[in-house]
Amino acid sequence: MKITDAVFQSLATWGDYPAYIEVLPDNSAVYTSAEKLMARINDTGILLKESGIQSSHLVAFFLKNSVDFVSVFLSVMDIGAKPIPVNLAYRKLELDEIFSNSDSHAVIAEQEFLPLIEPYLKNKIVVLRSNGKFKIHQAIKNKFDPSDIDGNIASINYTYRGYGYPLGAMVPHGQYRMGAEVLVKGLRPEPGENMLVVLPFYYIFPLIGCLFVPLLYKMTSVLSHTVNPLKVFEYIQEYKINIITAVPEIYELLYSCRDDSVDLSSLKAFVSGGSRLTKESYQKIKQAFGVELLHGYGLTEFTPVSRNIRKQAKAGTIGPFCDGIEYKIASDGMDGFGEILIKTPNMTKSYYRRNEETQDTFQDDWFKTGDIGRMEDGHLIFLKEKKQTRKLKGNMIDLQEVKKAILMYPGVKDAIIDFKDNTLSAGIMIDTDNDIKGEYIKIKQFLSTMIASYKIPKVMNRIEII
Amino acid sequence: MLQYRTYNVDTTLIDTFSEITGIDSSGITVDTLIFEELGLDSLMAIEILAKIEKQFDIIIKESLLIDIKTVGDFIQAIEEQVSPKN
Repeated sequence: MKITDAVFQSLATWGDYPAYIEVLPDNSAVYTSAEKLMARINDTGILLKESGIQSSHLVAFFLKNSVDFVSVFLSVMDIGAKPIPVNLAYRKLELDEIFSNSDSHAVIAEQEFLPLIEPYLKNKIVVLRSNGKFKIHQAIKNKFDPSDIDGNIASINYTYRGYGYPLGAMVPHGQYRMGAEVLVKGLRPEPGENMLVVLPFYYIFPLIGCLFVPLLYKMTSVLSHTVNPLKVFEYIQEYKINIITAVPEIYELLYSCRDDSVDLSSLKAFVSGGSRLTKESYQKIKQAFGVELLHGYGLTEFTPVSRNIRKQAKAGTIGPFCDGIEYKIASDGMDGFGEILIKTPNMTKSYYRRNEETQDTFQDDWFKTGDIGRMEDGHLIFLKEKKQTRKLKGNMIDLQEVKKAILMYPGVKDAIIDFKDNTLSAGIMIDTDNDIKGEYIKIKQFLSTMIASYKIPKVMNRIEII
Repeated sequence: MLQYRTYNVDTTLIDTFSEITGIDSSGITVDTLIFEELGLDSLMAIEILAKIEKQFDIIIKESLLIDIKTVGDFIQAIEEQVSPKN
């Protein structure tokens, strides 16, 4: 069963409350009923077919969070085409690889991203969104063969494993369905409850936790265009928010700007994931807001792998493994720590057009997460990454890719990338007589055109040429 | 310049930059590059914005953060955009 069929069934039996409340930058709100959303999905489908998008086409997404994102994402899936949600922070190096690897048939983008994606649009169908409306920018009919991707694949979501380039995880419909089911078992939401959505939909965690969970379990999604804590507090009060799904750093931000005069009594749970949540942060956030904080763990290849459950959450853990997931901890030491391996029929099983990386990662039906952890009293504890990637504020950084980008700067002979205490740093061997501080500024400015800004090392040091 | 004096945005903003980035305020000037030299990211920028809004009881448009390069740009943008809540 396609995940969209389950969503449409849910929308058809929705209650007397909105599916979406989209809060715009001027603080006005647009309400969308389930019926209206269904109509928008159908209307969008007509436009997409008119543009030439058809079943099995690959469709790259460059869209911000909005009801339009939801309707076009579901529309593309419903047609049988495969959305590729692209991180909007990506720049030349990441985009070169994604467009080269996927060779997508179509692109759906915000008009404002046109200058960024223009070099990749030749012979592609292009649909642009401007002022809340989609229009066909470039229509091409019957010119491309659809891809040969299996019908059970719902989307291609790019992630990293430390190879220095992104890999297109082929995410099956079953992953979205099962991911939502197991999240809900831990969260136990009620139909009609309100979830505040602040995370961008292009990551798998918000796609499952903030797009599919509310749609499948009949919750109202309140889309916020900001993570400004003052606005978030205002929205919690105004829209009676029950659940927020975010990364730990956003909860830290709320904590740092907390205000005892704000009525947060509607809140029931904070769902957390995407990066580490220390025991100390867990305790202070839980205490300050008086809500349950449910931290979990997942990867693009399957999310969530583990998550804390209401009334049973344990500080410093990423919760018990989700039902339906077989796991192994490949430990060879006395401390019990080892690489986490998982197996479920619904997980990603390959990377698009990357056979070698697929064989390295998926062995005998097991997915090697590349992360190290151990079990303690039925709860998983995350230690560190084994693979050459790191998480910073919910964003994944591939250390090899950062090095590759720095090496492209004129005069750089070598670079060593390090990540300590949540800070990315680079030791750079450079052949220059210029002022080195000025050179670091130029390197950072160069990197900002090549890679996502969160991948640019904050600290730079010079390594001497021997 | 009237708002500059009224709100004393510059001193407060530099102190807030210092608090969020962990860089001593004596090392921050109006010419300091917020991204390249202070290592400010989008969440940090939002935190600074929120703290300034709270301190001066004002609303600042987030869109003004686009194209900001220096601490001075930040100060100027806030001075130009501030609109008292009432």
